[in-house]
Amino acid sequence: MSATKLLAINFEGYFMCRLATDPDPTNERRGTSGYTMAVAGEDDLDQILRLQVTKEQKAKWLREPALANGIDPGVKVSGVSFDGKPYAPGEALRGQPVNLTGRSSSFAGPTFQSRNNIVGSDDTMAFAVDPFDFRIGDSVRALDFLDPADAVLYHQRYPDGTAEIGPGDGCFPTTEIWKIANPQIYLRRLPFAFSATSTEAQEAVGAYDMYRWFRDRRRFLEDSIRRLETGNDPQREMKIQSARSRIFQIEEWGLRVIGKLAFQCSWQHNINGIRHVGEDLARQLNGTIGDEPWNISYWCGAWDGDLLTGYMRGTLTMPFTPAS
Amino acid sequence: MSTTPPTTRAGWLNCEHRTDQERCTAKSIICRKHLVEALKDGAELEHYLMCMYLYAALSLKRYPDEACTAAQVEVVRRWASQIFMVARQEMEHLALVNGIFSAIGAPAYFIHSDDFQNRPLQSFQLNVHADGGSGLEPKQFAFSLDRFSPSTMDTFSCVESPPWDKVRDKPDEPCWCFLKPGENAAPALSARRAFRHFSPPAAVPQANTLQAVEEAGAGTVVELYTAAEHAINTIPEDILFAKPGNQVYVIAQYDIYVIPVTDRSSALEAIRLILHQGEGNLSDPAVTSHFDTFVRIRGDLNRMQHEDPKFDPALNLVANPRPEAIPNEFTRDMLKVSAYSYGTMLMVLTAVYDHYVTTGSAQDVYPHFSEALFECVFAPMMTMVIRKQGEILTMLPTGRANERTGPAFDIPADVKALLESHQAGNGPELTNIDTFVDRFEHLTEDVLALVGRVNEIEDEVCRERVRQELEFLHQNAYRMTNNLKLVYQQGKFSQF
Repeated sequence: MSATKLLAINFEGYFMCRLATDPDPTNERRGTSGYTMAVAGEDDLDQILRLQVTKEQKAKWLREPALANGIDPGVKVSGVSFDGKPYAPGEALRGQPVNLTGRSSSFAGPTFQSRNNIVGSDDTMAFAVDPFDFRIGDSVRALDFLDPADAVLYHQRYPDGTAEIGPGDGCFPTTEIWKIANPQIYLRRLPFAFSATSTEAQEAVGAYDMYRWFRDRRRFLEDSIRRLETGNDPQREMKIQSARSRIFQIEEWGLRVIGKLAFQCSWQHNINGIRHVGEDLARQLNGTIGDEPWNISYWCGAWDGDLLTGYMRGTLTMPFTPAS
Repeated sequence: MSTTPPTTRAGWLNCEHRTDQERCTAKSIICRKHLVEALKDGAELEHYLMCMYLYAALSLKRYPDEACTAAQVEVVRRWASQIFMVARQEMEHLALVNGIFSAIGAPAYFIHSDDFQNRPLQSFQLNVHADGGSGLEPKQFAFSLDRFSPSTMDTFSCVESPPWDKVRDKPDEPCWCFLKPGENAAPALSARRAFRHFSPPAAVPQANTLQAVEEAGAGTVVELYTAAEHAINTIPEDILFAKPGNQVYVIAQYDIYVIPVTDRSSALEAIRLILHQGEGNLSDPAVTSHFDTFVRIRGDLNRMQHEDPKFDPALNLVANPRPEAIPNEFTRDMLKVSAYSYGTMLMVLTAVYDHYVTTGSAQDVYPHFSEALFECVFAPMMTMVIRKQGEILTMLPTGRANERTGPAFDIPADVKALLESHQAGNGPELTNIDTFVDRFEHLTEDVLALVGRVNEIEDEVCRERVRQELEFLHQNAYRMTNNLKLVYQQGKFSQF
């Protein structure tokens, strides 16, 4: 007997999440009491965790100086290995976009679910990311059901795994988090670790000195106000006040904003739902994907509450036997 | 007038004084009974102020319109953020006063009077005097639920004002507390005293009009808490803190600092914190206080309206809403659901404060009554139910042109009776989990019923928005009900 060896697909990159924060309600649209907000000219906060952001969305939502500082949302495959060693056939995946799709009845995409301590905990960072429909390009899909009983039901009804899943008409309806009475049921989907002082997180974004990071940010915003005041931008006043609101939040909340650059929340769970590798990719990988469970581990952190961006790094593993 | 302290335990506890010189006065409380009464006044004051500040904050616009540009909305948002912060700190003050109640073995107090809008604070009571005796006429203020406006900010500034000589950056006059030259005084408000519990034995019976500060008992926030400080310093510690209850632990976050009160030193610290945050550190005026916050907002508002006379930062919310005065049936019923939720929250708070068990302590065994309530009352109830219902109300038409409403902060009569009965030591309802499960189930059903009626809302955009909000509210109420039952059985979920 030998241990099953795994194909490991590593991914990382910046994500964007335009979320409300305590003590605002979870579905707050503009941001009032918390430290995050949609400023003038921006769309409402929608709470969605976005691993990919379109050009149009970046133009609307990605605040300066994100791009100038190298913060460009888009999580990608960074490498593929087999049994811990680089796996050449896996290079087909390098650079492929990684995404989380799906929606719930309340939100148009996946969110960090706590609902002000109703289904999780803001105090212990116990959030389930839900729904969890993980995709790599068009070729890999790993969907996990929050309630394992849904996985059993889905596989019984749709053994070929082709039925749509979600709250829409004609879709397989999942049990949403608010309906699950006992959080033990989704315990596996809660973080297994949380650190408020993660050097890995800080290193990922280059924020070694968190205070300097936000001192520079504040200086940038003040400089932009000065330029606007002497310029003739038709939206001058709106942009000035938006910059002032951003400065206000950094000043008002201080360490609560600054310290999040070192946050790291880690999850790990098997994939109990759809596990799919497209035919083309399967051929390119030059091997056989086994029946044992897939597993995903990832962390989200290095959160910039002014830019509404953070960093994600993780690994999707699947049992694999290379062709000899 | 100096007061001779009692010499008997009964004297220290119940003011069983024997001579005139031994009686408590407005400035010198020396028995537990009158300390409790004065602190009830303090609790009601913090409660009223919180309601007023929340109402004003809820009225502030979040989106631009014809009277508020996108740039102006950003300024308004910052105001809302600050006013919500002040309201949170009033909740903190209410929690601190209840912490003192726990420490001295008195029942929790989360009640306020039905007619608090008829209990005026008069500015002469607020110890604000113009320099040089210019003869300015003090305004009368009512505890009133009003939309944000210049006069609202006058009221808020005045209520939180320290003595005039402590105000830095003084304008020419304490304009927030006094009538402008040529401004007519409003008709005298009903002269029921603002502070209704503590009645110094020497005070005259309630008169039709207040003629002098002494008749009002404690007339200012500072006086009230100074009198409480005096009592805590004077009553022997082993008598006052003889039977302390458990202190409710509230995590320090979002500018809230609920310190545990266990003895004289921590009780005095709690009072200092209340005064420091309200009027400011009287020896260090550079520290931001509620007063400072309101005066700055007031100044910004005046400047912006001078620059742009059509600028209006607030929605047109009716003052002091009453369900019976709301023509629109849907809105009226939403207001009733809001009152039901508010009453439920006050019941939960009372039960938590009176029966608190620390998670993980030796007492933390089944049935986990205190924990079940504790886990639902703060962020879940306050943010996701009470505030959310308030926001929904501000979207709804009253039935009168261009008018909307906010929450009434009425305590329903049945809840009021239950809480007062509890104060008197009667009524087991607040120790029975079924009381609360029943109320949460009822609330969940009421919200679901409103979801089914959203088509009554004529405006399409408003209808869709309210539908989404109510559906989300229903989901959360549903889960909170289940959480209540589960935590009661199993205790707090370890990951949370």
